[in-house]
Amino acid sequence: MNTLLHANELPVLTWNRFNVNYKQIELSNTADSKIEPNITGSTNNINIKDIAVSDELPVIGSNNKVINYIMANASLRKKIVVNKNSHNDLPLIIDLTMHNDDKLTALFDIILEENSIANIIISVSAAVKAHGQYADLIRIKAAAHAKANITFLQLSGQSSIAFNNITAQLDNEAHIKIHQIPLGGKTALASVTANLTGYKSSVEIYADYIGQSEQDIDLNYVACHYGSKSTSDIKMTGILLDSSKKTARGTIDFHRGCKGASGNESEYVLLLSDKVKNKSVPLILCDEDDVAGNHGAAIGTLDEEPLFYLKSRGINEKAARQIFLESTLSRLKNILPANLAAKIDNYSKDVLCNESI
Amino acid sequence: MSEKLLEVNNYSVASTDDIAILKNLNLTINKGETHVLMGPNGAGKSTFGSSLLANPAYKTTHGHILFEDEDITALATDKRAKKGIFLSFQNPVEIPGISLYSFLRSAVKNSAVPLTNKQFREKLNSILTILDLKKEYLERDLNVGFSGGERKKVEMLQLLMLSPQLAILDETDSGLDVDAVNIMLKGINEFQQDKEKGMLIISHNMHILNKLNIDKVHILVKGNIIAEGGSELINEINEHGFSRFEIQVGDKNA
Amino acid sequence: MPEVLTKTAPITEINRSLYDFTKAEKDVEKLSSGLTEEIVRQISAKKNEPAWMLEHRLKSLQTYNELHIPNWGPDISELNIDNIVTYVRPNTKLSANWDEVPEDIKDTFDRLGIPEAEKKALGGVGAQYDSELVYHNLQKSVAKKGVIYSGIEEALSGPFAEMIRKHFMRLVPASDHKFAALHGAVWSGGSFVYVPPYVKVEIPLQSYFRLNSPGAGQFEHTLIILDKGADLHFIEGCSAPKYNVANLHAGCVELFVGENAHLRYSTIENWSKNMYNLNTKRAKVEKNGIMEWVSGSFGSHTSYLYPMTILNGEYAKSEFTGITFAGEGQNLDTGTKILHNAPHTSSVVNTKSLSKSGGISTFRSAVTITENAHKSKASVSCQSLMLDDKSRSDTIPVMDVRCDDVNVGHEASIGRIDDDAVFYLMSRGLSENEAKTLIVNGFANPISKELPLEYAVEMNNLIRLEMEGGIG
Ligand SMILES: Nc1ncnc2c1ncn2[C@@H]1O[C@H](COP(=O)(O)OP(=O)(O)OP(=O)(O)O)[C@@H](O)[C@H]1O
Ligand SMILES: [Mg+2]
Repeated sequence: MNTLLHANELPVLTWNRFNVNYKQIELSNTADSKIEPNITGSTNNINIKDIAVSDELPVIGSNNKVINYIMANASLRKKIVVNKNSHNDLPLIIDLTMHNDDKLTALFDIILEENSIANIIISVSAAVKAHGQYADLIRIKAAAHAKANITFLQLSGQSSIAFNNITAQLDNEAHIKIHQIPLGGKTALASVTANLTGYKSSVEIYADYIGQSEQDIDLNYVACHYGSKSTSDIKMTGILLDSSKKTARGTIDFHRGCKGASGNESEYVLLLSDKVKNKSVPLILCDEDDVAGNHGAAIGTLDEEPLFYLKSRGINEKAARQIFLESTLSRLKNILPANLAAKIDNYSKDVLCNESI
Repeated sequence: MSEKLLEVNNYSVASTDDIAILKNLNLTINKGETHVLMGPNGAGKSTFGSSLLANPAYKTTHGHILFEDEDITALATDKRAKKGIFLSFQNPVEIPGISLYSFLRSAVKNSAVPLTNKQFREKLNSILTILDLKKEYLERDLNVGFSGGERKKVEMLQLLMLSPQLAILDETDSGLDVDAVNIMLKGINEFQQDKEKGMLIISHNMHILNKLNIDKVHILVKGNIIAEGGSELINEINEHGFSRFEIQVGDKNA
Repeated sequence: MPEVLTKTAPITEINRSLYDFTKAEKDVEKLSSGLTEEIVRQISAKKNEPAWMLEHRLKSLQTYNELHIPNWGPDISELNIDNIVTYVRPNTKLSANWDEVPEDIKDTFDRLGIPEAEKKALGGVGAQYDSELVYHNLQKSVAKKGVIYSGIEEALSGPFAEMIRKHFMRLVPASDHKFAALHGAVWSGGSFVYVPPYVKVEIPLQSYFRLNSPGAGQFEHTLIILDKGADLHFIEGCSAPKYNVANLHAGCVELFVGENAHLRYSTIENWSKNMYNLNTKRAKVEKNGIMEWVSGSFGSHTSYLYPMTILNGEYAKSEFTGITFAGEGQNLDTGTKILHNAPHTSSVVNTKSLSKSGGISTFRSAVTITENAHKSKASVSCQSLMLDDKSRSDTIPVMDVRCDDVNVGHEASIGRIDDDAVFYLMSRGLSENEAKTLIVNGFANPISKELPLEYAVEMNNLIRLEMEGGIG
């Protein structure tokens, strides 16, 4: 029996005929495969335990049916508590490896206590051709003055579906940077809903993708400003190859009372095949006057002017496309620890090697 | 083999929407020579430099470009670059999505002298030091958010990495602080050491021009080369400006 | 001090006296309210129209009954079509002479300055009062060039009947949305324009729509066909007095811009604040044609208004320039849709919106680049200004790109009046309100300068009136 879900819902609806109000997906309700995370890196001041029913976080953001599905299916439930005042600059790495036909549903609660600093990387990967289903909900609660980098690397098999949801609640002067890298999966969904409730709280949301083959990428980012002087920055960067499809929704939502808040949203999409389909839906919702919201998007192929610049350095169009890909990959590798960077190399070799760029 | 590096014959250029910009230019740069192209704003200097690399914003309406005795008038931009013509842009273009490093590596691979990875890294490190550029720049997107001076330095970095046969520097010295100008001079001097190479410098900066060995000066006014001579022309312009030449063009056009 | 700022009387309620006057309904013929097949047949019968039109009306009615109201956009649940009178016929005949128009109706248009403007700057005028046109006239010099500008119902039985049949509701089919279907069923009045090949109409034509009857709907249909190389500027104005009951406007505008033709369509919409404005406008542009929209939305209680351009031929171009000002009690959802359906097409969208005194303004857009629209370019820029912390402003664009060698750009910004700018102006002796009015006018200026002069003045007046309500 499967569950039909409206994933990645747009906070305010628009014309139905553009098919951007939500993404309909079908998830399986069979029992999860048994998958143990490989946890490495900084664990001194970070406690990891299984989530008890009693200490569930208030659910924020995200569609209720989606949350219910994750709650009902999650076999992996980890609570990660970063101790008060502790500074953990080295990353904590949670590495999930899936096999062919595996199904995994995960629930992570990340509690950043007051004034703590953490760097947490969650990676899910599988063999290139693997089938399977990965779904998760990562709930982050950042207490006052907490700072964290949260990176989610998704390298599921090319025949699978991956559905990554992150919600975050930020107290006074908390600062979180969330980086989603949905590279794998035939269908790759990723979402972040950040509630900036604290004074001067700030969130940076980055998404990097490379659509290839018949891949279908669907993104939904929402920054809700409640706290005064809160800031948000949403940046989506991607390349689309072959017959890939991508829909990106980004919303900055200024609620009444968020005086002095500012939000930025930008999207840069490079289209490298005439069979790609790209949809972009950048919303700014504003219920408060003392705010500054900006959005910019550029969608297209290589422009004539930059192309001339590259050619003047001896790089032809084909090579130019190649270095765009390489630049993206090496940028991603640079922010990841060596063992995960190696996975990107494998992905590049196994998945992108045949790309008709 | 001839001594000629670049030869431009009866060369006229117009914008794609047919506005004539350069009119019947003739100019020869021999190996080992450094030429200077001067002229008032809007004279067509950048257009000339850019059209030597076949910028699609312009079209050649008349004449030929010979590079090392080969007619390259019909050659595409990247082919010309591979032959060893380099243009340092007056306004280097921002290219989001491409890191400076990937770009350099790829450009060098595509050049006449592709280096091994090791050679590449060594050369890059030494040039970064010469130009006083931080390594962090390598991971940033090409020219995106770079300051005016940083962009010019990155152009110089590319020039030295690619070691082309002919370097065209379009106001590479403008917007630089005193230290950076000296660094730039060092870069130019280094390039001038190789007597097989040539250089065309577009500049308004008397300081830099006075410090360089210059073989020939061309004055471009309203798309015409109106005077040619040795470095004494630079001083004349320094003192009297371009007005004498502008009057001449007026006569010529009349 | 600039002259616009010297008016002093403080006005707490927005002054709309220029538009807000009512006329008693004398001898008008009104159908009962609501929407039934019976009413649709009655409307058709009154008009003595061809049989295909009645068929079209009945089919549209059926479509209307099948479609749902949108699940997005402003709330229109209070709009009850059962309370709307779909047909109100003023007691007069269509005339080409203002002196033949009944005194009270003529007085209405006099006060709106229409006959005056006609004398000064217009090549032709059509004036609609409730459901019917009461005046239509085209200057002889324009008529001589073969330009047709007449009531659309009148044209339905003339030499252009076949042309109208081929174009009527082909761009905006009844199935497009529920209110297009409603329009198809009960439409009444409106203008027809045909400009022959290579004819340039040097002075603008204008239609003015006035809705006088309380609780009524206005459903005029405007059909403009520009043949190859033709050139026209068409102006549309609308207003109504304010009543306590809901009025509805569900007009339809269909514009056909032929090869190398150029059409500019300017609208200043100033319906009263009890109006539901659910209007549909659409243009189809052939090869090398140019469509320009200039759209100012100031009135209405609730608006759904998104003029759409279909760039159907190579190198077709469109430009949309719009401003929306939402004040107290208003929920204005406006924007545009662009469909790039041929190579080398280009579009530019430039909009400004302002929200004040609890008003809600939403900019909604969609840019679609189809698979065959190679080398097309689209750019959208929208700026919103929040004038107080009681109001709301949303920006909801969609970009749908299915072709790689294109260039699509989008820019949006939202914010309030810059304190530094207010301070600077106040330091030069302007009051805070004057300073803000000046800044708001500056914000709107790129739009108002696209309007014909009288309209630009009218727009500045409207902004000033809105601003005099005081900024919270
Ligand atoms: N693509 C183009 N289309 C039309 N005109 C152009 C184009 N490019 C340049 N021009 C015009 O040609 C003239 C020469 O421009 P150019 O940039 O070559 O001048 P310049 O000599 O380099 O000036 P400066 O000293 O200011 O850098 C100018 O008048 C310029 O506006
Ligand atoms: Mg120049």
